[in-house]
Amino acid sequence: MASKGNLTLKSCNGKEFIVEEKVAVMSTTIKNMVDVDDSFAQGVIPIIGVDGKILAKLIEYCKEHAEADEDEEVKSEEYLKKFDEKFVDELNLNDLYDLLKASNYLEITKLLNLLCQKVASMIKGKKPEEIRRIFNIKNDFTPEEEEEINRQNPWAF
Amino acid sequence: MATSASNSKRQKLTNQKGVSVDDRIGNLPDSALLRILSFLPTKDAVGTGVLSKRWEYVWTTNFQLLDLEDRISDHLLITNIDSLVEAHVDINICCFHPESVIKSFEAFYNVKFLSLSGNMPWASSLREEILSRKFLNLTHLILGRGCYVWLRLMPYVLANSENLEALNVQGMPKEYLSEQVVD
Repeated sequence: MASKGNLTLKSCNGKEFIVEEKVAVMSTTIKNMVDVDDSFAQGVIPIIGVDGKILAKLIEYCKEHAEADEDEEVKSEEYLKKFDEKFVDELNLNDLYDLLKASNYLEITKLLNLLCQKVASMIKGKKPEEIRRIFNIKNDFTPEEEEEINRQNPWAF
Repeated sequence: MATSASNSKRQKLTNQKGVSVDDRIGNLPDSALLRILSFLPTKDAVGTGVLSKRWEYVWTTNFQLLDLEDRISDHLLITNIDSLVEAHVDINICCFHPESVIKSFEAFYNVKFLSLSGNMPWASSLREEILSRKFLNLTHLILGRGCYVWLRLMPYVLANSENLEALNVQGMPKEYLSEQVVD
């Protein structure tokens, strides 16, 4: 059991992480759970659908940001910006999705925005064919449907 | 051009939405896709509509306007749209349903991207107002099927839209176009 001020988070594959409450409540979902039901703050909080690897990544991110929120002098805005850049650059595509899905579910808005921005930067300025290739999107339109869509959508070149 | 390694993966398995399980991005919830689009320039955001069926209509649903089509007869909601559009000028996508009634066009003078469809006979009553106002931010305008009233107003809208880059008119008979739109 976690000591006071700490919470225990449990991944879907059974890995447990003891984290400071201020780190865990960067997630609005966890914050709401703890606020509503005190037993969560005492026991183990199951993080459904998030495995240990991704949960560790989430905690790494939240830890940096929670500490920065607490003491701006120790971690400057510039430091955080560099941390964020490095954090997303090191992700492969699968981790990027898993983190995006997890931060969407856990409502870690700062991280969610960072990841969505990263995906957007991979889409920006690219042709549909390139975007499909990068993200493994299958074009499931019939040729007739595609023609109709291209006619309707003035920016789909 | 970078080729993705995941390209070689099987694409046979699909989920209930008909999206391949290998298409990880397509399996994200709508709210996440919308958030991604919100970081894109309008042109790129709209362009995602051709990627696949999963993406076809995502861009048309502004965060706040998700249920618009279902609740279009709700007059209260329509009044709210004005303020929503105003608050989200950075998202700049507003889609009009043929049945929607907008009493005042006020909020839309700030919009960059405007997509209209349906006849909307009430729009003719806005003629005087539109004549006297400028669409300072409007860069892209789409007139969908049946926008005859809007077509008649177009010369005035165009004259007052200095920054318009693209006008797309869909499903109008040719003779109607040449007759009604000057310049």
